[in-house]
Amino acid sequence: MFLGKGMFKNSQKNLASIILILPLFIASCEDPTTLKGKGKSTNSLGDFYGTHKSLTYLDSPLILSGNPNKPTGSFAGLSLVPNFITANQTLTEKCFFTQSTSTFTKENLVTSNDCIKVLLNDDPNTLMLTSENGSWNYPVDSDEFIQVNTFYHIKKLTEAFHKTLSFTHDHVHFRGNLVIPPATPSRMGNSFYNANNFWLSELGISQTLTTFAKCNIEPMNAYFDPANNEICLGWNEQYAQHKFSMAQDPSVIYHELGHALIKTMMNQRNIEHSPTYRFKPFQSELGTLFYDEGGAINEGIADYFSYYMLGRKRIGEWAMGRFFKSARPMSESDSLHKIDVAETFDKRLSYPHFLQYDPNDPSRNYEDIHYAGQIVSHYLVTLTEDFKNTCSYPTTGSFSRVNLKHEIASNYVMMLISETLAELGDLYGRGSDFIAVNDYFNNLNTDQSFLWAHVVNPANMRRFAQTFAKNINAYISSDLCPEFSIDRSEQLLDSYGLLLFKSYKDQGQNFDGTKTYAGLGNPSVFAGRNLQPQSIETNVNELNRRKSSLVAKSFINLPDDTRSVAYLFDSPSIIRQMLANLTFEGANVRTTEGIAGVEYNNGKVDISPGEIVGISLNLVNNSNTTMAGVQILANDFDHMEIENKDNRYVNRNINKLYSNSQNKIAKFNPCSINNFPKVSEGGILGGIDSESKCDFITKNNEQIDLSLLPDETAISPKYFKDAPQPVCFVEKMDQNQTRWVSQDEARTSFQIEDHHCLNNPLMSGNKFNPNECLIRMLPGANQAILGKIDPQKTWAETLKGDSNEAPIFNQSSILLMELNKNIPPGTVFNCRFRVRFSNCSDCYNYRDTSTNKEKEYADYEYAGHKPFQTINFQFLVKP
Amino acid sequence: MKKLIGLFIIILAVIFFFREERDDVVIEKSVKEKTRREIASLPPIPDMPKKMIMKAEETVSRDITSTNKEATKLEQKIIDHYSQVFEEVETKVSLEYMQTIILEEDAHSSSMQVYKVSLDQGLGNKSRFLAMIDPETGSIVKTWNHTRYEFKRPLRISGEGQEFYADF
Repeated sequence: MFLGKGMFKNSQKNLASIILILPLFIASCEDPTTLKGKGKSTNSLGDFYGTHKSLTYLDSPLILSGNPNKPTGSFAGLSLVPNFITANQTLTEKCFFTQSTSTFTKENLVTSNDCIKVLLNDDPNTLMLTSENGSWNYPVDSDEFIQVNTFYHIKKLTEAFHKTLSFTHDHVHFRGNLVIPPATPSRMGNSFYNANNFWLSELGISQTLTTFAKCNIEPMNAYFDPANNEICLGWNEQYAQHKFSMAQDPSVIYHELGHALIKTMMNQRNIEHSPTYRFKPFQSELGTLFYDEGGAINEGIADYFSYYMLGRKRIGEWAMGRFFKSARPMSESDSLHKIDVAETFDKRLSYPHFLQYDPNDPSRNYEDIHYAGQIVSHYLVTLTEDFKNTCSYPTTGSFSRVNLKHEIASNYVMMLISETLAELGDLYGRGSDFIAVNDYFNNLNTDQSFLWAHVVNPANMRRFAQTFAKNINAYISSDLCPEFSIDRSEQLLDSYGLLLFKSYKDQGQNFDGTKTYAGLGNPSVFAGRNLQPQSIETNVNELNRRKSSLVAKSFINLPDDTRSVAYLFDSPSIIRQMLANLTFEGANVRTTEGIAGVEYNNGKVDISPGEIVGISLNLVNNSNTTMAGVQILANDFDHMEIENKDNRYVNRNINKLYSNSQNKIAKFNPCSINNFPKVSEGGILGGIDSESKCDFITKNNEQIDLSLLPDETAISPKYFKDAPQPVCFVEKMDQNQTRWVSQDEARTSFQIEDHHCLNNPLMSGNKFNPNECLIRMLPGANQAILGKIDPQKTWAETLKGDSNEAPIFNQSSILLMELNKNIPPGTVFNCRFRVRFSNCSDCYNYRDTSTNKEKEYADYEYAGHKPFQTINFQFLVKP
Repeated sequence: MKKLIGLFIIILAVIFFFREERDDVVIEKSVKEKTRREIASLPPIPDMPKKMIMKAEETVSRDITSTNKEATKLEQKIIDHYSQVFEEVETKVSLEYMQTIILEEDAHSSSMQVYKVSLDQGLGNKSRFLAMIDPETGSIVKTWNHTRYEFKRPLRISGEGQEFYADF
């Protein structure tokens, strides 16, 4: 049903083909539908000569045997099915994608390179397996057998995914109501020349995803490597006696391949327009390093891919569960759950209560993206089942997965995922091809979109649920399945605690809060299509919010009693280990050599000159509701005011050499936020809401302007008027007065030259900012994530739970700060951290006093302080 | 014999099936071929950002002044940095040059280099990511496409004795 009417126009020719193929089909029916694998003695290559087939396992040895304690991964004696592998000589295949070009026409695309490939392992000398006389049927349990089966499952999911993606594109562009502009790219119009967005791509060229079927790794593991587009399915000698390898479990193959497909969906809008025009080298990721909610969503969707293919509501019984007790359920009815959950409204695996729930050991709280992701997988599976039970379906038709109903319902869900991820991952800033050029509706703008999509406004549970629900309304409730009403959708989300938003933000992240889809459409892209964008914001029916509790941001703060305000790590060995760990993962935590470094760390749990310090803020939740997805941001933001907007040159040696700039050196003062600093202490009040003033938030987040003036011959870096600034500033004693001043002003009084600053021009070049001369948050560790904070408890108390032991901190909850060795001891600093959480009632929206309605913050406002609770972390630098 | 006949019929069927010109609605072609054809007739890109654009090295116009110079032995500089961080854990560091990106801001431009960084700590424990590096300073500007493991092993640190009080 997804191939379109055009497929039948050449019916006579097709009929002839069918007649010719028919004898083959009949001949193939002579093969048994299932065979018993008996090792090397039978079912040899010769039995399948010319068929390009092999015996395949359709599920893991544990599932096929029905024995939960199966001692080995051998498939001998289990039901194996002859299946077509590939007509190629090696385990490689190109990918095909059918792209609708109008309501009635389609275009078949094929990748220029092989899109999938399977090898035994990542040894550079490993040769590709070849078929022998058109047969792939190697002895059961052999290395060749594992490779062939891995390829079979990789290909099977890839084909299913592309079929679903074709359905998605066709529906959202040509058959749906078109009440919201499609996020997946358009093939029509003149803005997209290269629709190579259905697969992993670099420089407009499709890439080969290589899977290693027996990837030697200790301890046992599996991974997806998006830099090399590789999947490693683990195997090692330790489990050789069990004939164990992860590739024996198709659910795990689907999960790992799922990560690659998530990367594809996240980057659908980031494919460059043509190979000669490189728009951005970056790509979006769903989740960053270690623990965050984006990562949890990624894992939940990857688990869902297993259900999508197999229809089973548990993943990894063999590869993760048999020896490692890490199998994961995807339904409350799964017997793996040892707690009181059920498929009823009250007993769903809901957010945030079950964020740290390990079904294999429910007695412990474990902060891990895979376990947190179970909430997402349970929701997606329940949604699919709900579609199956609610929507009207055709009763006849072909299917390739489980059954027709499952295929259609899971296609609906995958369409929603694809649309949602295309929007969340958009680095182009538009969110849809419908949006006209330079009108940014998503992730701020082209220059800052990477920062916005991954740090400042990343995909957390709220943003994912909101965007996903918007797509349900547009493509399901008012389109494919009216029986699944908006109320029903909201009630289901609420049963999982995911009704975390008040309005659907139908009109995108919105650049300045005034523009609408309706006013900015690019008709040339959507010519001939009846796009009718909504001009109103759809609000959530508050009667449907029963479990999803929202909490005001004012309830989170540092403790004001005897409890510690933070946990501080400055032991040289711990910091060295943290830096190594973060660097290994790819985080940029390079310190300023010679000015700060671990060699200065004294391990006294104080903050001293030259140290690299880890800080986990001990935030307290003063409300009676759990706060979840707490994010602490320590990146630069618009919180200081330039004293004279005509004097914007950066205070650095090069600017003191030229007449144009030497008398126009910039001076920044801290804005007064929540009455700190007071005006008498150097704080600046908002004043008139005009550019460069405290009340005005930068619309583009630009920091240092390197453009040359007409009469200049060298770069004279200067700030933009509302340049975001580093978070820490300094207390300065002036005679009898105490003032809070910028680091630049303080370093001048301390007589610290440019080259003695942190991130000095040797490191930062033209982007040197003296406002981080003394204290600098390391860029790769300038945000911290706290999974959840229990009511009336601090972060540390939540981590401890009922234990009497000291709390154990995950690296993801720790910020890293470097201190200039030239800071005089006794100096007091204030660092302004911005904090928000996913179930926050006023971190993403505010009450518009002019209309008395809730309104979502526009993207640019996340460059300021309003959507956040501002935390002032003050400390004295000790010797 | 029966199999040979079957094989012959398949070959015939496949040839016949793919020979037909399905020009009414379906065009079979590779993406690479498609893009090659389209470049020749590309109109000016209508939605290029005005303020800042990024281009591949080969498309950089010559009248732009580059203000940062490539550091000598940049790659050695990067490897030295990683070697220093991993001095306690044997780690094989390798770099693969990917491309040079020109950042343009008005009349100013600066070049950035994209490298694929591979870190190997043995026993299959690898990490790989892409990094944009300022060739003049050797600084890592941005990293992305990080390796995603199934069983994560984040560093976990005891808070014993690490309480910090604002008691000044």
